[in-house]
Amino acid sequence: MKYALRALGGAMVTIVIASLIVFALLSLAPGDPAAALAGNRATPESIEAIREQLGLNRPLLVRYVAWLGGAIHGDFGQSLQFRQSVGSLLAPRLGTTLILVLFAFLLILIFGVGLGLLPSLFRPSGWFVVVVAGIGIAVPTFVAALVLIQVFALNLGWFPVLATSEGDLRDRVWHLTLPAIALALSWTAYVAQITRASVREQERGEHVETALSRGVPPRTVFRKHVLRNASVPIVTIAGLTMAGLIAGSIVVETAFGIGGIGSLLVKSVSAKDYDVVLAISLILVVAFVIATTLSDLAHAALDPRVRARRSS
Amino acid sequence: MTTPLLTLEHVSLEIPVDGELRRVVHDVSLHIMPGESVGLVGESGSGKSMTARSIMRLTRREWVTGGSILFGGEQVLTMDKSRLQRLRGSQIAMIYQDPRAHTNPVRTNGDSLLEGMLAQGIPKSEARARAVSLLADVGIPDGERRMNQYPHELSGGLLQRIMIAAAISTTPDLLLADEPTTALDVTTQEEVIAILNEQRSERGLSLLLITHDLDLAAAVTDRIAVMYAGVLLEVGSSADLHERALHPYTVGLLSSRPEIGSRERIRTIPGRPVSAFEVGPGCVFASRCTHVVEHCLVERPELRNVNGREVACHQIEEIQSHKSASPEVPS
Amino acid sequence: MTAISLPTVTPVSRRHRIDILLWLVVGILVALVVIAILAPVIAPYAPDQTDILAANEGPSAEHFLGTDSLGRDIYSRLLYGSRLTLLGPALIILIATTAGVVLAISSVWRGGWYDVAVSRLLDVLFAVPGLLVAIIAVAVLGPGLLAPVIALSLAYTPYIARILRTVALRERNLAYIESGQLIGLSGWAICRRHLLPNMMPLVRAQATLAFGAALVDLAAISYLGLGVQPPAAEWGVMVAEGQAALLNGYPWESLSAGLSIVIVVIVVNVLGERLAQRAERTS
Repeated sequence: MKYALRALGGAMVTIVIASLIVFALLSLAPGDPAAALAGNRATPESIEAIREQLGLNRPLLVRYVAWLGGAIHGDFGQSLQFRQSVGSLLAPRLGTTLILVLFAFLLILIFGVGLGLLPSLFRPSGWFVVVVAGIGIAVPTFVAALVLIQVFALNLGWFPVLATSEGDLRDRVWHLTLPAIALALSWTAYVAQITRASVREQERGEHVETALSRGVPPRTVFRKHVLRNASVPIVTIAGLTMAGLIAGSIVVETAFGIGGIGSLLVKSVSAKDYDVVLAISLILVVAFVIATTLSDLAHAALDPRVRARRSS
Repeated sequence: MTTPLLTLEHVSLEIPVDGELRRVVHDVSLHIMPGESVGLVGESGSGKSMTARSIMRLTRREWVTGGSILFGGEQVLTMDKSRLQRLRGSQIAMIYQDPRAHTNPVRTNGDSLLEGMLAQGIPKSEARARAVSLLADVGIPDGERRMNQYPHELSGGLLQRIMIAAAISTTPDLLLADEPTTALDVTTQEEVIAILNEQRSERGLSLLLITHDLDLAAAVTDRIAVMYAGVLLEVGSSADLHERALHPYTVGLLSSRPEIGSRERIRTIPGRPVSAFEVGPGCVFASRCTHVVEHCLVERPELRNVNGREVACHQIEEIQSHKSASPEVPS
Repeated sequence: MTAISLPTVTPVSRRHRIDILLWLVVGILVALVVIAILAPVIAPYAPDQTDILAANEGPSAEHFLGTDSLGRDIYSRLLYGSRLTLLGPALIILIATTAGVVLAISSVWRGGWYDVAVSRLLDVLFAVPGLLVAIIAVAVLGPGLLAPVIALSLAYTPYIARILRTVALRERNLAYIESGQLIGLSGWAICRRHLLPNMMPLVRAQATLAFGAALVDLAAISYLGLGVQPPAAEWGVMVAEGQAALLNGYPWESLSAGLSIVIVVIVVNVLGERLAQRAERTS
């Protein structure tokens, strides 16, 4: 319990520090939002007036706190590109990205862990898993995306090429299948490697022999000693995986032309629409920190030694 | 004449290292009667641990390359999976050298303690009650609390006692104890051995004690088998063997212990201990023996009866006659 | 009794197995570097030599891997592009490894509040994956190679530092460090002459593995249009440029650039894993 509170506290602090750093960095970025708002014909005085109005001349920390205050209420400012509130811009796209990431996460859990466990249940498959995982990990997400489009959309015609869909949830998921696979690919390989290594190590563990010597049936030993212990590093990886997926969605959304927050981020950087960049960065940082904190907590729940170590 | 509980006949073990098979145990024959305690004494690398583990087939099946292992008249090496599972725990139980390495760190002590009994089909509540009483027997009064704790919260000595309790919880007939006190400090060693011995005699269990400490074996066991390089060199009653060792190796072992108060140089056996696969055709001890003759290098001596002791040495009579001719001054 | 010589017991010989895979992989990497350096000599065409009439053609006698949408020879562009594609990660790894080693050794050596402060700082850095840091860096510094390289160096340092710190911690407590102190060696000398060399195998392994990851990340940023800019022939840029053609049925550019990345990363990963195994064996 104490551990959980400390982890949450740490997460909060990290979010604040990280967002402050991002805020500070972006304030250094080229481009003056006041000038952009004022237009081409504006005089220096009117630009200055707008700057005062927007509060751009206040010190950094004050601006940061003001922004943070607004952010907590959902007010992220205005988008320069689309002339609408950032909040309303992000809301629908957030859903799309969420579906994509969760879909990919599910695929990774099923196929990544599954592949990792395969050699334990079927010994000869060991080399196969090593090779497949080794290749999968080397394929960058954007390359996977294009290969999948080439093979499954263009050649075989099984999936639509464009990922946009206005249909119901089922239709949206169908359109997001290829992108989700592209996103999940390298992480599935990574999780498979970790799972296999972890299970292998546990199978050789001396406590496994002890349990067998006590007459515990091999199936139970596998479940309660091998799997149980192997799940610890896998759960730790889950958080990292989630964070990586969130980052990878930026690439996948761009590759497939999906209207999520990832592709919006890229467009906004090019368009110097910094309020949007800031807002999306915050969302991503919060998501990363939540993911890693959750897996941290799960790790502590599964391994009592972690709880003991951290509290000393 | 009762039948032995455990019989090893001409057991040989080979393990694969770097792609080739290496012999670690060669033609070992040994038996243990019901209620008897036997010590298997040898240095590290002598193959004694592997021998013990093979009794319950905890080594890979394909590593036992010869001989037979009979428990209660049944052939262990050909038992099917379910019979083997019943053998383990319910009939034979093992206590390991390093309790911390052999306990699952993410599960409670209670889980470890109960798993054997649960595998036997004993209901959880009854198993828990038995566990608490067993913990009391091995000198842990607050059993309930300890069972809810994790292994990293306990000292090595406590963990070893829990391992002993777990071993007897499944009511075996034979206990295999692999260097049960080596990983512990000296004071704890005495306590743990005392507990082990007490539980054994109270329940009438047989014991195979594996150790490198000849004195310990002599104190605790009825018979001793001395192993070197995977081969048995001398087997006999503990008291006898300890007082009057016959095989040059055993003599060397006994005389190489430092005595408190003695300021003499420790007598060591020249050379280093070897493993079974490093030895040629002759006697395994030939390279370090001070009584070696040509014949020793050519033919491996079998265990033969010499005045009620089993000894594997060609030169025993020679050595004995030399001794009586010119008695050595005892040191 | 003493007339015969005691037979000697020969120690079990240590087998030295030559690791074929390791040397094969090293050979391939060396070849890659050579090719990158010699690109202008090997390439049949200039990378920006356009030929609109021959646009989007598949592999042929004149064009080994075909042409892109502007008629440029893909093979030549791959060769020239290998320089940028390999240079970026090399820089990142150099910076990140140096920073990681310095941070790991210094925080293990000094200990105390310094160690805690560094760990906290690295934790914050951990919270944000490299790609996002790079994107923000591009927002601040503009597109190109500079911003992503700085950002990714920052992003990779904590990973390397954390792994090395664990090893450094273990090494520091070993006896030979203490004996160095007893002799009177300065902390700096001990670190440089004893601690660091013992960590080198692991440093090499981690650096190699990180190289592959950096290559992929950098190519991804270029793919997004935020890194190396066209018409430079970096492989990530080529994948992006070829995407429109791919959708129209001319996949040559994207697929050959993509395949090149995959091959290099596989080779680098195999090397990294072998090095990591060796590092473990010596520890």
